Amino acid sequence: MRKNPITFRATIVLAFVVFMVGVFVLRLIDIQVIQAAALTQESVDKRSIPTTVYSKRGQITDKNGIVLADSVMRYNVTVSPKNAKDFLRQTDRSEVTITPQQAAIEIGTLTGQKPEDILKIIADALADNPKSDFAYIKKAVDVDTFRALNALEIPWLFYEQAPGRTYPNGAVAGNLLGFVGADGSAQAGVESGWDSCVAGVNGEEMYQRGADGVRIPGSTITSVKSENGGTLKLTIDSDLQWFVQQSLAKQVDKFSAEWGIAVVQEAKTGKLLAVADYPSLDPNNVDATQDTNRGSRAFMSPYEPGSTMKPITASMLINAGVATPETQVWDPYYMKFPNGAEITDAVMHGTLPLTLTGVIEQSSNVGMSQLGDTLPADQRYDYMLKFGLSSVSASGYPAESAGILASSDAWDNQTHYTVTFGQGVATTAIQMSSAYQAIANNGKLIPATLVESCTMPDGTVIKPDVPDTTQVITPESARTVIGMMENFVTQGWITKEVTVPGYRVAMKTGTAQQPDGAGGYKAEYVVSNMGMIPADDPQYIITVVIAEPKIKLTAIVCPPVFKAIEQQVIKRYRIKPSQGEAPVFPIRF
Amino acid sequence: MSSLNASRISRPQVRPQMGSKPAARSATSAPQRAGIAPTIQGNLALKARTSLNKATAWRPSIQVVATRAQRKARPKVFYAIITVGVIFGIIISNLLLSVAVASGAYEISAMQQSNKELGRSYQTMNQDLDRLSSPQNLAANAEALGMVNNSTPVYLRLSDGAVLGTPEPASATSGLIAGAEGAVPNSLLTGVTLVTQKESEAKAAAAKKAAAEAAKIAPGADSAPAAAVPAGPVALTNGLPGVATR
Repeated sequence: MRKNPITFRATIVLAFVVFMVGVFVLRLIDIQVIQAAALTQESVDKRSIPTTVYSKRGQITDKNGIVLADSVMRYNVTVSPKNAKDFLRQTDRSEVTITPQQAAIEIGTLTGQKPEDILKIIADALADNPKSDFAYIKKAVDVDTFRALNALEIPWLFYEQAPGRTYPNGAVAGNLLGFVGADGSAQAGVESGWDSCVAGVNGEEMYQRGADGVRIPGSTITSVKSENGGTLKLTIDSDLQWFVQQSLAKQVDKFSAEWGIAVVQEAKTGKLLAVADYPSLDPNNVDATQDTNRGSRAFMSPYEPGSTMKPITASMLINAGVATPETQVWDPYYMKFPNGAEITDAVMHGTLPLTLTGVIEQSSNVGMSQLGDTLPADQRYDYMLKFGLSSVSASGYPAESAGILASSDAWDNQTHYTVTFGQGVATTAIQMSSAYQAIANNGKLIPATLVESCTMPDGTVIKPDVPDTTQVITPESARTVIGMMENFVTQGWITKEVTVPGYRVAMKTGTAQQPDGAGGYKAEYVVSNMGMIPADDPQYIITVVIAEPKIKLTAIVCPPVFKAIEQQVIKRYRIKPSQGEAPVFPIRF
Repeated sequence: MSSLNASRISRPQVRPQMGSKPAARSATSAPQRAGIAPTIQGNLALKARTSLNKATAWRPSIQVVATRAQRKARPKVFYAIITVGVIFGIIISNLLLSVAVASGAYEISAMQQSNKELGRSYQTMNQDLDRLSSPQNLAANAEALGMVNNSTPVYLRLSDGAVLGTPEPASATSGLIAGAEGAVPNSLLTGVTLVTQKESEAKAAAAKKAAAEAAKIAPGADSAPAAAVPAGPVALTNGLPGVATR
């Protein structure tokens, strides 16, 4: 039977069509069902741009809210070396060809680099890898430079964000603040010690964008939420801090001293208002400061305090009831003690009939050793521990030293006596300031604090933990010791150097030898002044320490700084003139 | 139904001169008007016969009359139009909505960009403000204006007018704190002019300082070949190419 040709052809065509449709259906199923997830992912990936949402590292402010450390966005300038070729620049009326050399000159003028250096960066990158697509021209340029560079419209120049840190007040409290590294991680100081407060969490997000680079609405997926850091408020008063730092620096420079420390602490709260270190660190320009000078010596470097320890020893004796300000002692220049220890005074003199007040006024080592010995060593050691001479403050400053104070069992025959006048023991300036704070505050020690609060972005305020206060000596004993320190000023050589008319001041000087690291003592001294104003109701503790001034009469180095700080504190905190007269204790008998 | 219609239509019909009447008249109304009772009742109404003798000028007139169902069905077209219209409406509004969203995306993008730029401006201005209000700058400016720090505080008690403290005039030099350079550095203040200084002077001073530092760092820098960069054809003024073709 002969087939109808038309029917036959139709059948073939139909079969073919059915086959093709079948193929397409299979492919469709393959794409839409079997590979669907993978393909969708691939397409999303192609359109998606992963980005880092930089968090803001929190500010560090002083007690008045003045910003000491702030976060800024800086920009890394990068180049695509393989594309660094001539390009056309559209000007008002024509197009100009700009060669890489010309572009390098333009870039260099803005970044402060030499054009040949820029070209070298490009050439080096190409030498390493002819297809090199990335090299840094300059890291961390500021917004103005970034804008100017961007305006050049160089097609092979690119930028990436680089969060940076700026310290508007420069070296004011710079040693306290510390600094952050190029990668934004805290390196030193409060930045490091309180990193948990100020550090933020960088966010991660993905979004899709269209062909013209515009973000497609609703396509943003946040995988990690960006969280800003908190604001850290210090107890530092930046204006006072600057003044103290400036006064200290001038004096350290004047006498070519090695370093200096000045501390102002609030007597009733233990808050540190100023902690100056010199040489200072400008955290904006860390490289300008030597490695050893970048931290805060006030917290980190213990020194032998010397005679500023005498009022502390006197307070132990008075509190323990073994001495009064009038307790008498014969004070020779040199004395050999029964246990073999030999103690001399700083200045040659005949044997003097001194009271305890006189021992402090004359700053007699021999007299203090004799009187100090009336209290057993373990009790003196306990008092020293109570005065905080072996513990760190509540400041949270990283790498803070707890001083060097051996247990009384370990004191040798010499140390048994020398600790009474501050040798054979090393303390930080902060520890000494705190011990004086206890005397100033009716015998109650409040651990020194440097941080007022941490305010998180959501408004919660975190107060730092402060250890309990300690009643070290009785209020009456404290009052008596303050009176003795006042007599040091009113009856001694230093009256004119430190007295501000109308104000009573209680203080003590110290001139201490420092270990030379080879078992002996250096020829140079660390001189210090420690005191409190106003003496009738102490409000502020002032500490000035200057190391190794190049001058014979070292005693005159610190008082000008001490007085300048006194005057500034009186003015700044509106201290009323003192009431009453200083008590008069007999010096000799 | 169509076959029924057809059979009726095939029959010769006599129709009076009423052809002028609309064809769609109802089956019942015409006979009534003629005053004759209808002979046929039902769905298919033919026009009633009138007296033949009157019908001298009649002509056959056949017409499909819609059934009740058809008449009822007719509004369905209306619904269809509505449906299609609504669908088109939805499509168009959807289109307009996505156009609006898309243009919103551009608006958002532009605004985010301007937000970023404003943020940058805020940052630079804030930085300027902060560094200018630093104690170093304030003290240096105050001293440049001839101000000194009187370090002898004196109080006047309002209740009895008593002077507390010992007034002492400050001498022109006694109260100087900052000095020429200032011992507390702030590298952010590089190039910042004092109020008493002309900008050009400050720039000259800064340049001098920079040159001195550069000389300190690289004493042999001058001998280095400075012509490593071939001079381009475009003259540079202020670091930017000055175009010669005008």
